[in-house]
Amino acid sequence: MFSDKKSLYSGIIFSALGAFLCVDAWKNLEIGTALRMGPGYFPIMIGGGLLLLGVAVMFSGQDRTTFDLRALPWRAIVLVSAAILVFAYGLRPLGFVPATALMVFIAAKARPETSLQAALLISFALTVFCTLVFIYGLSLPLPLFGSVLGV
Amino acid sequence: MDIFSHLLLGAEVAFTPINIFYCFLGALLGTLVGVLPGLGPTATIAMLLPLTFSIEPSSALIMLAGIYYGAQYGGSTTAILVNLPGEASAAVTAIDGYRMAQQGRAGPALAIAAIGSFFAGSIATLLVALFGPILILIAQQFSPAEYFSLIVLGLISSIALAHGSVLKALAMIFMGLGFGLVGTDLYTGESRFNWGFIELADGISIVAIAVGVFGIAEVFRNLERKGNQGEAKVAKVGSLMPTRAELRASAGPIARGTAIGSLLGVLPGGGALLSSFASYAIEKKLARNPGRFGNGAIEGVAAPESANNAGAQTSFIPMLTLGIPSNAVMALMIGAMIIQGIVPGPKVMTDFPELFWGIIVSMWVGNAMLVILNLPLVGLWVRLLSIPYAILFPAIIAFSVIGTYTVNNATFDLLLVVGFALLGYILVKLECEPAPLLLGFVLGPLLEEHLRRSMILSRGDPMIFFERPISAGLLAIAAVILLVLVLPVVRKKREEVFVADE
Repeated sequence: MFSDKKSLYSGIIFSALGAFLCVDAWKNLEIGTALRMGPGYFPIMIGGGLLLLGVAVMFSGQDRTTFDLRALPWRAIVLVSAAILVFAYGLRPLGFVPATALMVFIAAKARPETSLQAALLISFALTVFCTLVFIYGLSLPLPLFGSVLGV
Repeated sequence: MDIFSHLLLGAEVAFTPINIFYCFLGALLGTLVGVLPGLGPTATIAMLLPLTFSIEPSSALIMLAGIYYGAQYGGSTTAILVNLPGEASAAVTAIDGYRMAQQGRAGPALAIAAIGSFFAGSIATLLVALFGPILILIAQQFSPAEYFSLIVLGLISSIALAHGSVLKALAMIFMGLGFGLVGTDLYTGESRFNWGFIELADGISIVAIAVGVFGIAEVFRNLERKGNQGEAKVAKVGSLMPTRAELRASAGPIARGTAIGSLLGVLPGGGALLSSFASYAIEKKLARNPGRFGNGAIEGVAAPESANNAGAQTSFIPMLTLGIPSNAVMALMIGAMIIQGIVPGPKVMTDFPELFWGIIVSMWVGNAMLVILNLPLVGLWVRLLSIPYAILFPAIIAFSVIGTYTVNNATFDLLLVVGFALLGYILVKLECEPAPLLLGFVLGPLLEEHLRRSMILSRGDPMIFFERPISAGLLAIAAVILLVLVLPVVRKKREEVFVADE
């Protein structure tokens, strides 16, 4: 029954989130009655539904499937996430141009076959393109270079 | 006002130079992403959604709409020439279209696909114009109970679109509803599930969810494959002109495809994808010699191409009139309206007639542009296939991320993007489709609002949903759909249908 790992794990995710919604709503929100529903009434319904559905999904497995966390493209996941975070936290101190260039460079390297030179080239070209589109085309009020760089 | 003055008003909006430009841009981008495998209209619209913030509402929606139906055209081009459906809804076109190309009939296949799409698009645009206002009249009679039931129906039908387990799709809807809860309670003003993050006071940004789940998660999926994909072999196009016999053979399928597509597009859960599969199956059933299908039957190109375009077009009807999206792309269109400060629903037509009619007329303009864009320029599009993913995906990331940031100037939204990308990717790996999640997220707040209003009206008696005939009817349809979906026979058929989509 639990040899269908894909159903088992997704069921666990669903029911965990459902349980969390129920507990959080129960503790922090007023539930109310069917006539005068409080802010917690609908969340309990949704959370409860998600919890039950999650359990049902867990038991619904038919075929034997596997799910191996190690088989995920971790390099891509880590580097792409890092690229986004670098932009998120780098934008204000560094400014638009360096933050974009860094983000694109790190993201481009998420694909192992992309060489260092190619990644630098992609970073340069896309930074120019994005600057033209966002700063000059859509005139977004973002500083090109941040105060940290002393420009 | 009659339909002509409506369409005239729409034409005034659609034919302004700026809107022609955005319509063209949308059609162009749509063709582009339709051609490129690994980038679909949902991801593209998610990516460009933030950018629409800084342009006029009607221009924004005209452009986004163009991306959706433009992708239907572009998808067929690569399906026929390289057996690579750039777009899921073009998967069936590849079966007979690619065969035709191998037989040296790529030109006529492309031409019939374009003619069929244009015919279907024009008819469907008229249908939107005709039935939109009627549906709005009906919708104005709806009480909260009917709305509640309609949303339930819409959510349940979205399961039909998802592959695989019905239970998982249902759970994904609930998960979407759960994410929709975050924010401020409408009635009491109390904040819910924000864990002290002030950024969550207005709820989770739809842009962050869409970009994460559809844009970035898709990049993870594409980066699973190691190495370069082999060069695609492109068939020679040759003369575009179909023979008279081919034209005659296509007329019926185009008409039927248009009818099926228009019908399925309106249904919640429908749209381009379902339409193309259904019409191909029907043509095969109707054919005197079904054996020809799969061996280069022009009907197998004409019908699904007409149907997917008609379906793409008419799926705007429930979105524009009721504010209820029938698929993930329409959910994003709702998001685009909300970003612009427009409340989706029956009031859109009366409050923003230029927007409503402008979009409708622009669809016809866009379809005409697409024929011009696609037929003579077919060689150019095929050459695009050689754009390496090494360049494409950093561009997708840069555009999505910068765009998301600019909507609220919020660093926090980018953290959400990362979170939802991881969640969306893991769920896809666990064979849970993300489209129902997005629909649940968009419709959740509406569902709750109408539920609570109905319960106040009925003094806490849930029978209100079953005593009102329209509401009861809608719920009954939802129940039937759910039952049908879990029936073993249908389940098998569904699996077969979706196999072609892999």
